[in-house]
Amino acid sequence: MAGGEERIDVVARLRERRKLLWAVASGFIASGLLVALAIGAVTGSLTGGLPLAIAVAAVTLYIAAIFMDIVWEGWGVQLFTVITVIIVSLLFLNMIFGRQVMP
Amino acid sequence: MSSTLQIKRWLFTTNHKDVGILYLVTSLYFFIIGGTLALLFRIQLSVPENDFLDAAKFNQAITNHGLIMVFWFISPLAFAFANYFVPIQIGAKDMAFPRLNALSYWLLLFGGLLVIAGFFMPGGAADFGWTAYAPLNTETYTPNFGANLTAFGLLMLIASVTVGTVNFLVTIFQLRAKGYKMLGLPMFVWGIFFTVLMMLWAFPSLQAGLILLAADRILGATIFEAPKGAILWDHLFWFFGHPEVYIVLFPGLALALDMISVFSRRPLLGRKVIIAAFGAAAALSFGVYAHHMFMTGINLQYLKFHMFTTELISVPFGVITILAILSMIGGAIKLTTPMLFALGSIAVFIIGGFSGVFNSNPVLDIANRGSYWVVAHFHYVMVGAALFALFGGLYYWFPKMTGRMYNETLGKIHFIVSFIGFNLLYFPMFFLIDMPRRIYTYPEWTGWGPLNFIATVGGFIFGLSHLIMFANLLYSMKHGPRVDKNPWGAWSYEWVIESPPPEYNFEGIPVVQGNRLMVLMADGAKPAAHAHNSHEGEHLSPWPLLISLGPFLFLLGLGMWIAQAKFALPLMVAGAIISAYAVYGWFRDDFYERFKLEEPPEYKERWPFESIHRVKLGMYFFLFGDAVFFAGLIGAYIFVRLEAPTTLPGLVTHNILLGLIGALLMLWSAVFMYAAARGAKLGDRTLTLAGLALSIVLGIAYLVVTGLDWLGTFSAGFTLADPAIATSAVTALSHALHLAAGLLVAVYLLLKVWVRGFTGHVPDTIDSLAVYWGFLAAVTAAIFGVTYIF
Repeated sequence: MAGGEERIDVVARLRERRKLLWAVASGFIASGLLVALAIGAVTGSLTGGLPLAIAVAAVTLYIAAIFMDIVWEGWGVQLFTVITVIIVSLLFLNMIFGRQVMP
Repeated sequence: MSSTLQIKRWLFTTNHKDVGILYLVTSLYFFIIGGTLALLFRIQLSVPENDFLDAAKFNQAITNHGLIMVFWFISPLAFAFANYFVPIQIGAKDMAFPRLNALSYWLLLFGGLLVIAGFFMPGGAADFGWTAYAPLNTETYTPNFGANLTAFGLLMLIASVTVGTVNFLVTIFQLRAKGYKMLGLPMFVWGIFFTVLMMLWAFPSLQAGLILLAADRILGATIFEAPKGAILWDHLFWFFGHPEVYIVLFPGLALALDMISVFSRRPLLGRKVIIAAFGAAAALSFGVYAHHMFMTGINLQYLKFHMFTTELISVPFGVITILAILSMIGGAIKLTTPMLFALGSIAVFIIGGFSGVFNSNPVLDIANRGSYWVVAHFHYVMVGAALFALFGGLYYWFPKMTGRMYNETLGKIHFIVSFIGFNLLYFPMFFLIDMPRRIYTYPEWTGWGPLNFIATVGGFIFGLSHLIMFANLLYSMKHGPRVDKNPWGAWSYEWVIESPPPEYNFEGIPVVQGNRLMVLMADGAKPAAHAHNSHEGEHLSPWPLLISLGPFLFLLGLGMWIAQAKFALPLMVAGAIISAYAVYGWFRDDFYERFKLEEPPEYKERWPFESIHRVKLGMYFFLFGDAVFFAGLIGAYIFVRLEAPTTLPGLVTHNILLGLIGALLMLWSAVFMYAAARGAKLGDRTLTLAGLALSIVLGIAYLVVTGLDWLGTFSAGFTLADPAIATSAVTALSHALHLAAGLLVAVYLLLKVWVRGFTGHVPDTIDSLAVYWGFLAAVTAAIFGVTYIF
């Protein structure tokens, strides 16, 4: 194997190992966040409204970003992710604000 | 080729051109059915107080006319051309996933057959209109058992669309000939690109609505019968429904632009502006849909926002139309049949577009809503603009597909007669602005009779005019004069190759340099025949057909079982057995890597996804759409809770400790799947096997814990009659089914790595499965955060 290819191989392997370490660490971080959500719910401090919406969205996006590999992908995948998040938000916002108030 | 081989070829083919022809024939078949239904209800409406059809039959005819024309005729006709020509136009030898392409076709066909089977069920077919408004769509108001088959048929269609969407996006992004930049692609490819993008994010919303409707109709839930349930359906339907208008329109409009350019002998004026306009319209299509809800009493500020965006969306379409017209100025225009249809398409689109702008104003919309004005408007856009362009495309590409020329005079006669018939049919409807839609008859004193009679005459002229086309093309297929490969002097790359195109399109490596396509050398891309593999290299696989046939039989049996019809159970059992066998067969082929047809990535233009494997890219696109599906379900739960704050929150109806344990199990299942993927990339077999095994165990544990939690909820007396319980149960069930499907793939990959090691695409497949698992973990967090806490 030529020197350049060897170097690429080593870099690729190091990258995979780094991704694995981040995933394990994120497993613990996300577990903590889920436990925090549950505690917030049980204590009554997080049972509805904007704080709950932000908290749930943050945990969901964090898990998606790490375990769907999005943080490690190129800008193309990241752009499509952002568009998807916008479209999903549009659907939620329409369902929340587009409600019947008149007969 | 013998007749047996011919039959085998058409049933088992995965070649994109064959699949395109299957789409073409199928769409024209459904056109005849949908068109016949239209003529039946036009006869009924032709004179006042007519009794040709009773109210029930009339409602069934208009409902199925709408469904069949929108879902099984116009879009499939566009995708017939897309299947046949997009790979050639971008310089590829096939689609990115040929077997999935065939699967997409068979799912579409069997979905359509399910809808038609509804006519033979007790009570008849669905009769709630193509919009299936709630609560009309529920069992209370539509007891017809055929309506269940309509819902099942639409779900099969959505499966077809999902598979097709992913396939086209990966194909356009990763299989372009080397040097072929995105901006240089033909307008038709751009039209298909934006169409599939809208499909990707729009159809899952309808899917969510249909799954919830199935819970209402089959499991006794009352999601759409509950107060404000109608508004919930409106949101889920129109979030899909308005983009659907452009999904139907874009391919035809884009094709019309290409034909105008070719037959004017001029490049399109403002080509990049037109592409941007298509993009702007596609983006805006998701933010305008509430104009279909102006009369539902929605929040005034929200209504005004949608009025503004609706008016805004007319701008890009105005830009496209004006640039199309300006492109012809100074050109050497040839009024061939395709050009006449392209011009006809633009002309009726202008009328359809202008008549729609009025309705963006809520005051005028309240006056026009539910009248024949609206019927005329959307037929001018969806039928006129799309259909004329696509029929033009049929003439345009006929010489390429057959190697023979049609009769030009008959083509022109077809255009003239159909154009007159079309306008005679729909233009009088603008004057029927005071006649309500969806009424099966009307009294004489209304004075609507003469205009309706003219419309019916126009309908028959329009409908029968297409017989000229069928006769012309069928005759010319065998007896038309032979033509060379580029009879129009067109510029896109399908005209560089022989007519009809060879099996693999290009006998070498297609490369684009300076806007010219060159085929460099024979690369041997056709796979060599394999001793154990009769279909490799021949594009043949029985599994796409069988994987679609199984669910078709099962769902048909299920619909019959609900209706207490005979032979239901044997059909369901046969469907289940065929499905299981077909999935096993598909996996078996993959296990032995029997089905491979790939072009080397280094020969392709892959911007902006250069470094990502096509399987993983496909998985991303699938999940981007799936995110909207789960958003629709979770959004439905939020909607129900907001509209009925007295319903109990998830904190009361669920065991939050079990919910938390389940969420943690799913999360760590994803961590181990991610580790398995990293192991596969590193070539570490032990890490991969351990990761896969632990992920499977934790995934099963999640299903058990969630099942226990739901058992607790139901044993506490909560039922699906509560819309909050029903929406969260459907969400949990959909998630569980996703996970079950994933577990099946995970077990298969575990076996494959165990037995065969890291052969073929296994590392990339595990990597893609890890992405899927990560998505499921994120959805679990959202479900836990919303349905357990809120």
